[in-house]
Amino acid sequence: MTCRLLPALSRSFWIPLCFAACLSRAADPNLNPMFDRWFAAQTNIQSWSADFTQTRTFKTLAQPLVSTGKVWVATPGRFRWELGRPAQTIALRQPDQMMIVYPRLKRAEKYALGDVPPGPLKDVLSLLDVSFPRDREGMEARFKLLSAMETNSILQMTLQPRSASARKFIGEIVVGFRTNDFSIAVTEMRFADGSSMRNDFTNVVLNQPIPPGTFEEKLPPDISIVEPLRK
Amino acid sequence: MTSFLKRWWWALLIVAVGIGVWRLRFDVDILNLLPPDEPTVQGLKLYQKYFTNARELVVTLRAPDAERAEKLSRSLADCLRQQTNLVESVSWQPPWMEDPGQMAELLGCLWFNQPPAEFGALTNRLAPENLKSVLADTKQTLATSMSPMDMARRAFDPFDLLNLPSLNKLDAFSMGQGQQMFASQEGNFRLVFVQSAVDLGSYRSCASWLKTIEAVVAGLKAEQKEEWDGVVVRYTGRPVFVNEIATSMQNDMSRSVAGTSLIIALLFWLTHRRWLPMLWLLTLLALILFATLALGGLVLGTISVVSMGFAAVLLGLAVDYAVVHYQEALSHPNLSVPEIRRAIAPSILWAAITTISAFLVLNFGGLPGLGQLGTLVGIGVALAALVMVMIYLPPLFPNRRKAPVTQAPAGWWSYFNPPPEAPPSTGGAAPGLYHRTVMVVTVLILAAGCAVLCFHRPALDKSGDALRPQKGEAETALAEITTEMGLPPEPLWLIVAGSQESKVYRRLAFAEEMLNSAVSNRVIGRYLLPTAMWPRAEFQAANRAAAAALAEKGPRLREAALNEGFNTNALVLTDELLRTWARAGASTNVIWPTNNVSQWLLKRFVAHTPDQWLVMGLIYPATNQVETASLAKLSTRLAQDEAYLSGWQLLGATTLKRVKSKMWQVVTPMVILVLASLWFAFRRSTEILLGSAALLLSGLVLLTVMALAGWSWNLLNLMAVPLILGTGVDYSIFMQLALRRHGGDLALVRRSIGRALLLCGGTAVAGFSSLAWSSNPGMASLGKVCAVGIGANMIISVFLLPAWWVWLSRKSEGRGQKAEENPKSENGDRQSRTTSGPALNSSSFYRAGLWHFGLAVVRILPVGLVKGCCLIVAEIYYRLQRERREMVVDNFLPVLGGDREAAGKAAHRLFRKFSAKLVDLWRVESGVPVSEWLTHSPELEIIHAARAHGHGVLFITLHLGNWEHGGLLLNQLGIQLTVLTLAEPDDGLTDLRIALRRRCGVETLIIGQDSFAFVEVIKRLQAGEALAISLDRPVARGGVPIEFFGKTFDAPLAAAELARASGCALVGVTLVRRPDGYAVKVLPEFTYDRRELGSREARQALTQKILRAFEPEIRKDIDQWYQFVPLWPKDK
Repeated sequence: MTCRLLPALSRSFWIPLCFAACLSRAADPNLNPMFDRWFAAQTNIQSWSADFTQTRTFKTLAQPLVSTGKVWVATPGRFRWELGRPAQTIALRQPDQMMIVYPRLKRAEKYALGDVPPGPLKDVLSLLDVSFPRDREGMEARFKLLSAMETNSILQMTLQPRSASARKFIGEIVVGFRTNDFSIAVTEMRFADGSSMRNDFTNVVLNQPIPPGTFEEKLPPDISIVEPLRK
Repeated sequence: MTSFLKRWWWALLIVAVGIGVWRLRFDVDILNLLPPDEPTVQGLKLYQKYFTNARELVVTLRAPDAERAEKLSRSLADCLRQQTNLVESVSWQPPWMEDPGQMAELLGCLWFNQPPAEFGALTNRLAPENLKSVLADTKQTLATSMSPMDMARRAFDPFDLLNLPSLNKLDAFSMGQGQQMFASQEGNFRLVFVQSAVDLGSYRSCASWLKTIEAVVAGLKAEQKEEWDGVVVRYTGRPVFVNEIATSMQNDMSRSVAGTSLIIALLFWLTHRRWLPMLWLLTLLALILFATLALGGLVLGTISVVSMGFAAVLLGLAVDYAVVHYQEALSHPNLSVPEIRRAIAPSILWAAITTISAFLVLNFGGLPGLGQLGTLVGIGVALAALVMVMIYLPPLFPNRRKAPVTQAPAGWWSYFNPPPEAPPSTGGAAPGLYHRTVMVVTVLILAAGCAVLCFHRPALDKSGDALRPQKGEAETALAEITTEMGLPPEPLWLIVAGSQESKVYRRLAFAEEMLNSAVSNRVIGRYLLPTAMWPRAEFQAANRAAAAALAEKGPRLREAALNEGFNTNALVLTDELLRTWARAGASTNVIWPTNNVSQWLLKRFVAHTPDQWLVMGLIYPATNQVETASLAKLSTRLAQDEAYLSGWQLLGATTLKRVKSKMWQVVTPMVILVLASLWFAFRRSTEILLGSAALLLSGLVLLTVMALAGWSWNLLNLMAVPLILGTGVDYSIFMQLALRRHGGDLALVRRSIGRALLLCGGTAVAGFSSLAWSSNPGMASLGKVCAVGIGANMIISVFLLPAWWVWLSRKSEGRGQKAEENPKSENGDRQSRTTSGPALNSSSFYRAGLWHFGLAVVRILPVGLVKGCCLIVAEIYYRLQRERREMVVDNFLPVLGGDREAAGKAAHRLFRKFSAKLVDLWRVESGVPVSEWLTHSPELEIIHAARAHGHGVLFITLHLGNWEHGGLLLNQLGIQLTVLTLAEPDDGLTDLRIALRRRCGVETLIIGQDSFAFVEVIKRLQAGEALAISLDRPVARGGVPIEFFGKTFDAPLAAAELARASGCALVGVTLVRRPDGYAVKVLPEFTYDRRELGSREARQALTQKILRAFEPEIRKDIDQWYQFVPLWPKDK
């Protein structure tokens, strides 16, 4: 119900959050060199694209729900996520707004990121506002590293939002990157209600030019646009 | 006093007081002061009764950060919950946050209220064959949706049961809004709602409970000192407001009563150096107040405490009566208490009557509270006047209780007669400088006041802010809540009532239409009505079968969901909804949600009594300034269907509008009654004008001070107006009647009444000034306005009014002196052009206008009715015109051997018979013939014999009986009569009487100082004509002293002169009224030696002989001897 509004809302921002998390560095001194190298590698990444498999786990479902899709990301602050084949959901991120299009439902939701009033919701989105950090300090200002481990050439870190109100909805964020080329491997958001959302990335392509039109969507006239944050 | 106390009506008063006390009830609801049929008032009453929580305390908590605020709020709530003896419940977050499942019942009821088509569609959607597709769609959404609403909802709502159109209209009651009821956006400011387990009916219980709660909170803070460091806790809510208002009122009253009592005691001591009068006064005041309340209870039954409070204030007027009475007694130590009472009673009684009549008119003001106030003040002032006149003085002057033997007994009505005016006092003549100074000051005040008011006038504050307390803790906390929570400005309330849910719904729908229109027209900004949540009886009845059917599908739904991969967690909501529908399906009446969360939500806007349902909505004004005129119109239209729009902002405006609409109904009769009372008090237009001028000047001063000080009128200080009016009228009556009593002696008047008024006014100003420091801005403004208004009344009445009075009375004296040159006419009225005589005031009734009226009336109405009415007028005149009455008594005393009692009775009969005589005269003059002559033939022969002499006949009459009818009688005897008379006081009347006599066959000859008229008279007599003359009125010049009833009488020599000049026959005639007619008495012809009449002594002797012959006739019918002028010269 709507009491789950905020956690659910935060799920819509898992993408850039994960992306932001991708760019953070661990505080573990043993892995510091690895984190430093990873952050250094990020500064050279202007764009990337990948295929992903998304697994959503709900407390009310016995089995997780699995979908596939594709993602394009370009700095600063732009991405395009397509979920499902054919795309059931398209999420488009601009520096100042985000739009989620549901072609099947003929519906689009626009989120103006400057309109959010102060409060817990803003805390969650603030993780987004300082997303794409290019430095470790910025990341550590927003997240606390709970743990980090390397398995099968993937360094997986578990982060916790420092903001208490953000933690009400997002309990932990897991980010994993490949230690050979520092590309993103996995992201997972674990929500306060026990559900989770995991993305496993494959076929990652770095710094390939992405047409600007990729991050925009011309909506047909029969699609209705709503702005949930304006209510 | 003994005789007073023995009066039977004293016992009646005690009985009335007893019954009144038994009936008396007090009403503490301030809204009952307002018109009960006003929709705003009705709505406010319903809101106060059903939608305010008198037992809810709101604790605000401000912390440096949101996390700490939430944690401490939870801690505070847990701590308070443990105080089960004090606290019933504590809410620090929306109750559905703690138990979300409970919202399902509410949602189930919402579905049940849907139109049958929609509920039916749901039933179809949940048909077995559709379940799989529904669940698959849910999973698809969960897998791909980025919508937080969809993902949150569908996870726990696999069957999409929350897809309810009505839910969209419930934004105001959504969970997000719910959190906003408890925390600000940033989260560092939170509210904790504490419901008391103790009844908080009185302010003392509120104070005690609050103190305990604050102690608990303080204890918690002390235990967790570090956690609470930097956290600010405040309290607000009804218990805090009640406590603050009551405490501040108590402090105000204590301070005011103590300070005022001290000042009054000091002033009284400085003025009189005695405590006993003040203590006795306070005792009587207490008795008066008690009796007023008791009699008020007898008349009104239930009295509002607010009206009672104001009435008590106005009873301060009673102090004026006592002080004035007392001061008069001190200033005249040689007078007894009854004499002082006779002198001062008219002032007090007419002052009281003026005040009473003005206040009773308030019953037409349209406000029940005002009407109550007017009635209470009327009763109280009447009692106070009687008590202060009759009871106050005797115990203070025990040696002066008995009246002197020379004082004639007087009836009760004599206390209402204004005092006789003393001769002008030379000692008290206003010095020229003082008089000039007063006039200059008057002009300066007028000019300054007009100049100020031309540019700036006091405004009228239509809001209810005057009724609100000054900023206290509760108000500050409430303002903080409004700011922090981002709440809109104070909304208005819409209360809809109905005996059944269906009626309420219909009215809600109608209200919604009106409100939509109001939003379009920008009359209001937006509104919030729970129409969507209100049960629809007809829909519920139609959906019952479907609900029962759905409930039975529960197991199938569960199985389908589990088969599709959902677990039991996903079915909590569904199960609860199905249970609700099962209950709904089994019900026969309208169902409501019943669990704790639903009840918590519903009681915010729904109330239920055994015989009606009430629902509340919120209306937000379009701007911060409430457009009251348009809202009042909207309120009236809504009220036609029992939907009441109300709010404190609207209350002030609608109440004032009501008062304004009734203003003329109150002001006009008030002005008329006050002017009429002043007329009866003064009987002089100049004094009425002076009193009005003093009032108006006081009003000008008050408005000027208000304009300069920036004060405005408001709902509370408007109450000052009747008080200032009352004191102003009282002071002017006291002062002017005192000036009359003392012949304009300013020094004496200032020593007596002036001092008293300064004490009265000074104490009133002191008392009201103490209110200026009240914590309630309305009470403070009332105190200031009253102090200034009463102070202005006092200063103008004591220092300016006397000089105006003296100035105007000097002008009147000048006119009076001129009038002295015009002696009386035959009716004892002011003389116009005749020989000199004592100057007298003509009766104001003896005018052409009244004569015309009388002539017309006797032509139209039955004679019995006319005589009856005239008799009533005569009685009233007799009782009110003391001077005239005493004059008649003095005239009769020599005739009756000095027997004053007999003279008084005869005088009374005379006034009564005069009324009948006037009617007879009007009838004759309007042409009604007279035939009831009671004559004796031998006496008529005297007349014929006198005529036979051939030298003319001079008929001598007196003002005895119906002497004017003599001309008719003589006409019937074939004798043409000419009446010799003086001019009437009114020239129009002279001409009228001449014409009327002529119509009756009687000629008139006006004689005065014109000597040619006498020549004409002599010629007519010598020609053998018959003339008539009266001889029983004294003359100021040219008369001769003769003995009449043993007293010296200045008789006219006219008859003897005419006899000497013409040799005419002198015949005396009387014509008096008997029950069966007019009795004619012809006296034997008065014989004389014409040669001897050359000497004045002979003429004097003849005149003596004539008047002595009439003495027996006068004695026989003294009560028809119509002498309304003084006959006997004053003893030197």
